[in-house]
Amino acid sequence: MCTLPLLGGCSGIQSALDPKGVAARAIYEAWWVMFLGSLVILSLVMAMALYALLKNPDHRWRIGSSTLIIGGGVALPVITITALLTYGVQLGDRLTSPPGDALKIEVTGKQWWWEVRYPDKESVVTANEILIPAGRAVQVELTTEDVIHSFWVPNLAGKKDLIPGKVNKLLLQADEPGVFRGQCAEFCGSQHARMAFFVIAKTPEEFERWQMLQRQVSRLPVNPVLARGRDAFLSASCGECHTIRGTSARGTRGPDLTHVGSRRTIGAGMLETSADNIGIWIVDNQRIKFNDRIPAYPKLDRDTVREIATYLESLQ
Amino acid sequence: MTLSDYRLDGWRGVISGFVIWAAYFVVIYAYLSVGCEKGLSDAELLGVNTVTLGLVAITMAALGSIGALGWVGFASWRAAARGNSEDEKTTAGTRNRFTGLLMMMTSGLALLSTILVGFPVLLLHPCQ
Amino acid sequence: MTTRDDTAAATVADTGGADRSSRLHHRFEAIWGTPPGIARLSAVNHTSIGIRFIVTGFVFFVLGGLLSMLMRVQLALPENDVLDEGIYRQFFTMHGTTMMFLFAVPILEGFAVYLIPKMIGTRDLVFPRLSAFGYWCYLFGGIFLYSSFFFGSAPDGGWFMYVPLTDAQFSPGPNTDFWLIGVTFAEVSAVAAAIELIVAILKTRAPGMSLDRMPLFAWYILITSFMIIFAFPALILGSILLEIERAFGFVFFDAGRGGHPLLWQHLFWIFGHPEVYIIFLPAAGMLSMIIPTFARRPIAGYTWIVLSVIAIGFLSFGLWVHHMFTVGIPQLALSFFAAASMAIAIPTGIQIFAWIATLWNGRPVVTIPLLFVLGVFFIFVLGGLTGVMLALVPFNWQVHDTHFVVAHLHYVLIGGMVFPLFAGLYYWLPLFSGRRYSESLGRAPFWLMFIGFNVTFLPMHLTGLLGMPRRVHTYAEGLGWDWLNLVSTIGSFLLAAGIALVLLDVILHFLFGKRAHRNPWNAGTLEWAIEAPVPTYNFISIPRVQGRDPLWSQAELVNKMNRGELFLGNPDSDQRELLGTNTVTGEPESVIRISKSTWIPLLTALPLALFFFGLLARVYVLTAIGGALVVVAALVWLWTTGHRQAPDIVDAGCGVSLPIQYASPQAPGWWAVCFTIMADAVLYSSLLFAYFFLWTVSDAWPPADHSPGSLAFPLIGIVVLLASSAVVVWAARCGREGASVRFRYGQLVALVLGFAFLVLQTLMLLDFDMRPQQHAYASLVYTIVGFHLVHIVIAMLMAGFVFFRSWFGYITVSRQLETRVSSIFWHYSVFQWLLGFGVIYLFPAML
Repeated sequence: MCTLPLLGGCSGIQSALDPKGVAARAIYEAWWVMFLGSLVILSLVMAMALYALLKNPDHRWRIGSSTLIIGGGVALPVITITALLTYGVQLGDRLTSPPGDALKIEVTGKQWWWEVRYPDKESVVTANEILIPAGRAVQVELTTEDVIHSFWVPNLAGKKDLIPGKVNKLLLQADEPGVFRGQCAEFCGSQHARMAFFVIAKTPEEFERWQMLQRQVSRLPVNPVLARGRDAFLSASCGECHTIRGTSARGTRGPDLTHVGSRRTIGAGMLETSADNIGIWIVDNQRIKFNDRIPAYPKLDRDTVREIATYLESLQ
Repeated sequence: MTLSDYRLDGWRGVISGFVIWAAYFVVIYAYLSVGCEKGLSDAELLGVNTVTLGLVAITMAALGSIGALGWVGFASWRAAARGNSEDEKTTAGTRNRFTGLLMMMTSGLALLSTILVGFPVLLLHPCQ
Repeated sequence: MTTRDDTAAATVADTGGADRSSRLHHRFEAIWGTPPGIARLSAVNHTSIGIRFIVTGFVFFVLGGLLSMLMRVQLALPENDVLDEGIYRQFFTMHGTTMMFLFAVPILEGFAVYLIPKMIGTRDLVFPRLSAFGYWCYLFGGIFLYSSFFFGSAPDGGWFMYVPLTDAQFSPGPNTDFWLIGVTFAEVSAVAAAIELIVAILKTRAPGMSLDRMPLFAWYILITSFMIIFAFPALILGSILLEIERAFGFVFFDAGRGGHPLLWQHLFWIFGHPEVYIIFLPAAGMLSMIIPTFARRPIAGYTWIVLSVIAIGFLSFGLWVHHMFTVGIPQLALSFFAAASMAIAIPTGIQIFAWIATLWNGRPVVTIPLLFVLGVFFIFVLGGLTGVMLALVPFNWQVHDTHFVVAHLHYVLIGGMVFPLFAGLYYWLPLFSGRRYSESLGRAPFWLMFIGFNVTFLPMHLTGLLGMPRRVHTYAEGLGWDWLNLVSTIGSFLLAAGIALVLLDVILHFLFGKRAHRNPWNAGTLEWAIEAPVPTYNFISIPRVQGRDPLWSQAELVNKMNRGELFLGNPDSDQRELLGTNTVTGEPESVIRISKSTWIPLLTALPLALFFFGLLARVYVLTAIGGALVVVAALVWLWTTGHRQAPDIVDAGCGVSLPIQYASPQAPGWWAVCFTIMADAVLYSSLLFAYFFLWTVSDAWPPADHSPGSLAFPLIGIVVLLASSAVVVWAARCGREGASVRFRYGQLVALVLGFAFLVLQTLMLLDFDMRPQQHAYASLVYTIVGFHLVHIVIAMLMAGFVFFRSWFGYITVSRQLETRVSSIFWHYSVFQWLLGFGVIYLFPAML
């Protein structure tokens, strides 16, 4: 399995302990406070229990039972939780109040991939990859087309569920440009483990440029191989499920492929995007990601597959 | 008859503080959900959201009644503890002391729980 | 620990007493014994049933454990393929389901069934047939669930079964049906046992055992049982709704047709969170018995502990939404649940510090049970602390549904349930076997378990914080989770080895353990007054207790008890007799005669299995046959309960004569019916909650194109129903005054009115202009009406039953129990429809 290069040894790209966004950092700080506090309380309880068990009864400090119970069982928790609750309530409020200039992005969960829409002006549609401008708040609107999923990019923020009959909102903000991995966090059936995506924070200029590019229709084939690839794509009825703007492919069940070549991965984080991998995916996706909604095409001959793959890879 | 003379027998007194807490919890959650979904939160009275006002009123009512129960418990406990001479030695005496004390303690904890659950009402907008 | 037992020694010296005691033993054994051979299956005695629950529970524990071992093997390495995703889904679903429904709840109920009568000083539970029936339901439910593996379609939607993943569209196979039906079957058992335990604790404590003298374990079980009554119906209702939606196309959870998937989550977690405490409390109750014994002093803060148990019982119902912090609920609503989730730390802290205070002010001996207690302190407190963290809403958003939560829940459940259970197992072993475990052999397994547990689950906190979600069958390499998962897998093998050694140690001790005499730990509570291994009848005569630890304060108790000098020491009636006592004071009120061994519980559970099998296979003829047979079996069950010739007043020993339960206003049956109605009312409230929940989230309710039918049928129905209640009141009064013919006429009239109501309701539904498949509104109207009609049919069966009971002379002026039971159920059913009518007809009109 060739996922290693995807992650490039970058453990920490899906970690709550490596915060790169406003919400994640606030939560990270809360975690440290609670962790240290818990350590103190646990040590205290264990020390008292061991003392009570092991110390010779005749040489123990005399402490009345009521003192122990009221001190440890009432006063200690009451003080701790009052402080924690006050803090938590206000933090939760702060992390869910969007600033006025937040960028709106719509994410739809599907078994087992993510459709991403940028509803501003001419809309941009992509899949499994969300580009955001660093330093700006992003309001993600979450809906689902089938079962419940959960959208989670630990480096940037906590998670939010995608629930039928409901639109949920999640606030993201990356401090600096970077690549962050996310994954579905609510059990959603067979390939729940393989429903990953990337959030890529760019500088505002780069983000603008990327949006401009994405708004364009697909690039026309610049050589006969690519042209044959496009024709093969269309004649193998791939367009029944996929859209490539600028061609007759208008399907909506699968990801929009207009700029598939510009994305880092295919198959919701399964394989790095390359002509070879696209070919492997077309032929063998049911082995790689069993039950995925895309049928495998083992009958397509090798050359056709390579041409389709090369064409798709060229759609930058 | 004053509140201090009022008695709730055995198990009723022991659970009633938390029964009120439970009812309080259900009522504020239901009131908040319905209030927000059905648009009651759009109105304001004296600059405060009406849903918030309602929640505060319900919380006050709960605190008041649990407090009263706690007082009854305290009074029964003290009465049983003081006891008249023959009562003190009987099992009835110790039992009443136990249930009175327990009634006071459960009401106390229920009161604390009500305060904890209720105070965020003052910090947050009800429907966001 | 050096053990001495002055009372036991005294008994041996008193040879005359010993002879008498042994004579009485044989007489009682003849009354209480279970027949040999295959007829053992007809046993109803609480000792037998308790042991069956415990043994079966351990079998399921091992099965659930094996599933988890295989899951750990799969997760040991990234991109592993030992288990494919389909198998993995089935395994994690069945692991959770097994541990929650087939291990934790039943085994603790097993311990309660076994121990409670011994601790509170009685000979059996009050409804022995119900105990046995509960066991069979549990066993059949478990077998039902596990049989799904043979069809390759074990449940695979997670133990929480979230819709829409588990609805007919996304899970068309029978997997989900196995779960819904099997779990409901097992839950029937839990509710039955809960009702029985409540009545036993309230009504059959030893004389003098007032509320403030009850052993703490009884307090824990009492509160836990009430929690079961209030929590389980929510899931039973949820399961019924989901099964109806799957099988008949009704709508409750489908957002496209007016339902909502969050309705399921609410129903599930209203059950699911109290469930965690339902598992923790009995185990904590064991600790509250073990710690004073080995600290060699009474428990510190008895009242504080009772306070904490009551508080947990209530507060645990205010936590359920903390499983739903990420579903998109307004902040303020979340804060209520966050507050309650944190508030529960107070009573939990009180308990922990009461235990520490007991040890601190005692002279503890570190035995194996106490080692396990020490394990609890570390593991459970750590789990509790991460629990408080999880109640902090923003932190929850980060770690919810990750391995952090997997770690947390195992710390709480293994620390709060398995370790105490094992402490309790070692502690009470002498009662089961008459032998003692070996102090030296038991230490290694404990340390293996303790270390293995922490190696498995401590790293999982980090795994979750580093971003690994739950319920994934595999994970990509290089995300920083690889070594953590490998460590967890290695730890899990240590843990499993430790558990296996404990079970082996326990099995071996039955063969090689040193003989234990009475009360080997010199404990203070009544179960240790019984000779080990325990005889079937527990007590030769029932002692009067004068404190919380009678064996510490009443020196002569055991001798008097064994000479039959106390209550019910005379076996002449040849009946199984218990002493009924006052709820609060524990003063004797009645003599309760209970059932001997009988096949009826098994013969009722078998057709119930057929009923459920028919539902699963969707062969509704089988369901109908099974249902009819259950009714027949239940009628036989009830008919053979009660003794027509038994005297109204019985000699209870100690110079006291008491009414027999059929003639007592305090009969256990009366209390049981009240609690059953309570459980049923929760079920009905859950259904009404579903109605109002869907109304809250709907745009138009009822849907715009719906026109309410004519009010004629429902209004006539209300009149008929109210009239029937009046007739039932009148008939009951005639019965009390001895006019039994008029009493029977009254029942007949009630039957006619009930039947008329059935017809009217059918006409009303025919008049209704929507089919339940169209919209959630219609589904709820049909379900509310149908739910109520089932009650009317049951009430009619009961009216028919008391008609014949009166005819055959079981119901007399002095024996009004059955009339009271059938009347209250009738009125309850009528009241239910008054609410239903209000919801269906008045509420939409008010909008």
